[in-house]
Amino acid sequence: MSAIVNLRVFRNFQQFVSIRPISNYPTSFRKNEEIQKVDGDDEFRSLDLSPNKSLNMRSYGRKVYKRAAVHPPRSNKMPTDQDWPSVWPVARSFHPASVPLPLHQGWVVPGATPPGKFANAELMKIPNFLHLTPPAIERQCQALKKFCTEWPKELNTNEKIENHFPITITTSDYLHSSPSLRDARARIVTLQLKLSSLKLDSHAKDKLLRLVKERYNPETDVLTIVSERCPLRKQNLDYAMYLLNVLISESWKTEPWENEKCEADMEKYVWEGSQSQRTVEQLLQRMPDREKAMPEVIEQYARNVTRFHNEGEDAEKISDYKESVKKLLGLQA
Amino acid sequence: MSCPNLNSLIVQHLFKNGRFHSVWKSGRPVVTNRHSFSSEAKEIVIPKYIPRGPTDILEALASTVKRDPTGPHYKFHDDPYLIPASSHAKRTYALAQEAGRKAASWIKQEHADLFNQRNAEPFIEAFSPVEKLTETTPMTEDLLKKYIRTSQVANAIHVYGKLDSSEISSATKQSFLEFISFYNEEDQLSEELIEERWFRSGVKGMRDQVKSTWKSNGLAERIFSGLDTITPEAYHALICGMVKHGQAVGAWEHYNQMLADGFQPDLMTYNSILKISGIIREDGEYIITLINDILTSMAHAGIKPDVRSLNAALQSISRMPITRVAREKASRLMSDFKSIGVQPSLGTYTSLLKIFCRDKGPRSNILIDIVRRIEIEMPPIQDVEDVTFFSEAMKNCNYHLDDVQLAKRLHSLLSSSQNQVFIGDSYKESVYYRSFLLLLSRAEGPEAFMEMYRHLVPHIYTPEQNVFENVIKSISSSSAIQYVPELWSDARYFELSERDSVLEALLEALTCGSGPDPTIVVDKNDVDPVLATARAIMSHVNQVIKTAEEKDRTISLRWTGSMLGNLMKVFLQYGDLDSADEVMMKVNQLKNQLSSYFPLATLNIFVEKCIERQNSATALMAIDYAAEMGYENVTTMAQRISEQLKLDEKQQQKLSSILSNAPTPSETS
Repeated sequence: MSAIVNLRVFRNFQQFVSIRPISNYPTSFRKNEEIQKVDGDDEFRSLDLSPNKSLNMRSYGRKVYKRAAVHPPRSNKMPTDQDWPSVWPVARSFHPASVPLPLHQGWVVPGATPPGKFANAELMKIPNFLHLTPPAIERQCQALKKFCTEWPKELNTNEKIENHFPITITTSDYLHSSPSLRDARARIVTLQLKLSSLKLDSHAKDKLLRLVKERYNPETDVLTIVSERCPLRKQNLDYAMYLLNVLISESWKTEPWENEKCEADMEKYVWEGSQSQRTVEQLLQRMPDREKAMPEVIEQYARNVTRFHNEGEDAEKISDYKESVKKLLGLQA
Repeated sequence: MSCPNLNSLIVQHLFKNGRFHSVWKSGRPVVTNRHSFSSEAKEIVIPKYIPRGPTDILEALASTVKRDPTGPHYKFHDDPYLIPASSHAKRTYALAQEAGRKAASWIKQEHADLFNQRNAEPFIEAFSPVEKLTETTPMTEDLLKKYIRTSQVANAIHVYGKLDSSEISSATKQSFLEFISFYNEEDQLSEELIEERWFRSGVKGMRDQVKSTWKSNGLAERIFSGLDTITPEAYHALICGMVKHGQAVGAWEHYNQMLADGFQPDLMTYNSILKISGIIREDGEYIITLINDILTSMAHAGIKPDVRSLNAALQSISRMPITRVAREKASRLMSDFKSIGVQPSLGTYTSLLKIFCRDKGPRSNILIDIVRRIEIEMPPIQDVEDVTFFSEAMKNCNYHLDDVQLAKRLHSLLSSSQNQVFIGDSYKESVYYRSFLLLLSRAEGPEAFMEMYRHLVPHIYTPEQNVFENVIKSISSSSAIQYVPELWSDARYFELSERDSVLEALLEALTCGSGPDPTIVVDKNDVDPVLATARAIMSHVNQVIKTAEEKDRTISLRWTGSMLGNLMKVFLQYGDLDSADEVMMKVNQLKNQLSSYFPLATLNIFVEKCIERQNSATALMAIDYAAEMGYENVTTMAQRISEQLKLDEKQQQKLSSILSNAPTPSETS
C-alpha cells in the first residue's frame, strides 16, 4: 500500500491506521529495517576492524530506549471548518505539519514539479503571512476597537486639520530584545510646521529664514526643528517649543541697526526707493508734457531694470531695457 | 495670526500629538482662533482618552485566539516529533525542558563570577546569581532579614544559628518564627519550576488525609519556648504553622495554653483551629460543639469570620461520620454566614459536595444548584481548597448524579479563559477529565462522543488504560466501527498498544461491523480501513512478541484464542483469505499456549471457506486444532473435508491420524 493511497483512504477518518509516515518524512523505523536487510543479505561475514560504535555499545548491554510512535502531520487531522487564526496566531517560520496546504517551492529544471512542503528550506526562509489572514486582521481590529476614540467630526478635511493643528511632532519608540529597555534614540524630537501658517510679513519672514538657514525647505514651505541635545524626550520637546517661540519673536523684532541697511546691503534689487526711481522722477519733472502717458511705461521700465539686476544680463534683457528706455524718453527709432 | 497667538497654538499641538495624557484626558474643548479661520465657528471636541492598563492591548488580542484542538499545549514544540501523546511522554518532555532551565540556573549559581556584567536596565535582581553564604560573610541581623524577605529558609536558619539570639530584636525574631513555622524549616521548591510543581503536587493530592510533617521539638518550638516574653503573635505563628503542617494535637495544646495565658487569638488562628476541629474531636456532636464554641468566642472578640473560616468549618464537618447531622450543621452554617454577608468560594462548594454526596449515602442534587449559582457569578479564587472544586464536581457528575448535561455545563464553565486556574494540578486535571470522558462514553452517542473525544484527546488529556478500554467498549457497543481505526492509532500513540486488554477490546470492536462498506472502498487498490487496522494489529503483535523473544525480555502480551478468533472473523468478513490463513497458521503453531479457546463458530466458517477454495492444507490445520482442543464436531468437520476436498496421500494419512487421536463425543461428555 503506497503512502499516497494511504492518505486518500484515511482522509475520511482524519487519521492514519498504519504508523508509517508519508513518504518524505523519514523515521528511524525505516532506517533500522534497511540496516537489518543489508545484514541479512551479506553472504560472508566481514571482519570489522573498526567496529561501529553504536553496535558495539549495544552488544555491551546498553539500554536501548524504545522510540515512541511519531504522529502523522497534524494537518491531516484538521477539519476543513477549523478556526485558522487560532492555529496560527502569531508570526512564526513555516512548519509543514501545521499548514494544511499542498505547497511547493524551490527551483527545479523546467518542466519538473517543485519540491513539496516537507523538509523544504525554501519555505522556511521566506517570511510568511499566515497569521495575517483577512479574518484574523478583522478580528484583531474588532478587539482593539474598544480602545479607540472617535475622530472629531469638526476636523473632516485636511485643510481644517492643518489650520487648527499646524505643528507636527514626531518621536520614535524602540523595542528590541536586549537586556536594556532604554534606547538613546527615543529622546529625539522632530518639530515641523508650514511657514505659511505663521502669517509673517516680509521682514519677519526674511529674518526667520536667515535664522533657520537650511532647516527651511522652500519647496514644501516646511520648517523642521530637530532637538536631540537633552537626555529626555520631554526636555527635547520643551526645547523645540522654546526654539520656535524664540525664533518667531526674534523675527518680529526690528532692531535699530536694521534701518542702516542701504542699497548696497540689499540682497537683491528693489525698485521702490532705488536710485533709478529717483532719477526717473527727476526726469519726469523736467518733461511735464509726457507725464500723462507715463504710468505703464514707468512700470515696464521698473520691471525691466529689476530683472536686469536680479536675473543677470543677456541679449534679450538688454534689448527689453533698450525698448523701455526709448519709450520713457520718447525716442523714435 | 500674529506671534502672541503662538502659545495657544502650541497648546493645541500638544493635543494633536497626544503625548500628554494629562492634557488629553481633560477633554477640554479647543476654541479656535476666529479671525484666522472665520468661517469655522464650531468648537472642536477631542474625545477623552480611554484609560487602559499596560497589558490590556495584549489581552484583547489574545481574546481573539481560541484553543486549537489539533495543536499541542504551548509549552511543547509544534512538531510531530516533539508533540507528546502519552501521559508519560508529556511528563518527560515537560520536565526535560525544565531540567534544561534548572541546569542553566545551576551554572549561573556555580559560576557566579562569569556573570558579572550588569548591562541590564533596569537591573533585575532575580536574574543575577544569588550571593553565596561563606565563612567570611559577616553575620548580621540585616542578612537574616534579607533571607527572610527572599524566603531562603536554610540560609536564614544558618544565619540565625550564628547570631547571638539575645542581640536579635524581638520584631526580627517574631518574623523569623513566622517564617520557619510557615515553611516548616524546609526550603520550598522554587516558584519558577512550574512543571515540577505541576507534576509533583499530583502525588501529594492523592492523600485525602493530612499527614503530619511538622518538625516536633524543632527550631520553631525552641525559639518559641526561648522567648523572653511570649506574645500572642508568637502563639499565632506557631499554631498556624502546626496546623499547616498537620500537627493538629500540638496546635490544639498551644491554643489552649494561649487561652489560659489570657491572650486573644486572631482570625488566622481561629481559622486554623476550625480546620483541625474535625481531627481533634472524633465524634460528630463534639465537633459541632467545638465549632460553635469557636464561632461564639470570635463573635465575643468582635472578629468577623471570613470565607476561609466557613471553608475550614465545613472541612471539619465533612469528616463527621453521620451524614444527617453533618448536613444539618452545614446548612445552618451556610445560612449563618450568608446572613453576615460572607460569600461562599469554590472551596466551600467542594466541602458541601463531600458532606451531601457520600458514596453510600442518598442521592443529592446539590451540585445542580451550585452550578446554577456559579454560572451566574464565578467567585474569585480565595482559598487553597478552591482548586479542588472542578475535579470533585466532575467526579460527582460521573459517579453520583450520572448527569451528562450538568457535566457539559460544568465543562463550559471551566473552559472559559479566566477559569483555567481552577483546574489545580496534574492529578486533579486527570481526575476531572477521566470522570468527564467516562461519563460521556456512557451517556453520549458515538458521533457526539467522538467529537468531544477529539477535542480533548490527546492534547489536553491522555486516557489511562481503563478509561481507554471503556471508550473502545462504548464505541463497539454502539457498532460505530468507523471510529475503531482511529482508536487503534491512538492506542499506538498513547503507548497502550502492548496491553492485551486494550488489544482484546479493540479486536472485539472490529468484529462488530457488518462487513465491507462499498462507499468507502471505491478503487481496487484501496483497502478498507477496518481490514487495514486488523492487519496492522496482527503485524504489530507479531512484531512485539518477536522482538521480545529476540531480546529475551518478558512481556505480558500473548496471542489469545479470542484475539485470533476476532481477527479471523474480520478477515473472513472482508474476504482477506490470505491473512485468514496466516491466522490459522498462528493458531496451529501455538495451540495449547493460547490462553483462551479459538471460537468454534469462526472455525466452522473458516473450514467452509477452505472447502470453497479447495485449500486442503489450512483446512487440515483447523481440524488439527479442533481435535487437539477436543471440540465436539471434529468428526463431522473431518468427514466434510474428506468428502469435498481433494486430499493427497499424505494429507489423508494426517486426517485419519488426527481423527484416531481425537476423542469421540461420547468420551468428552
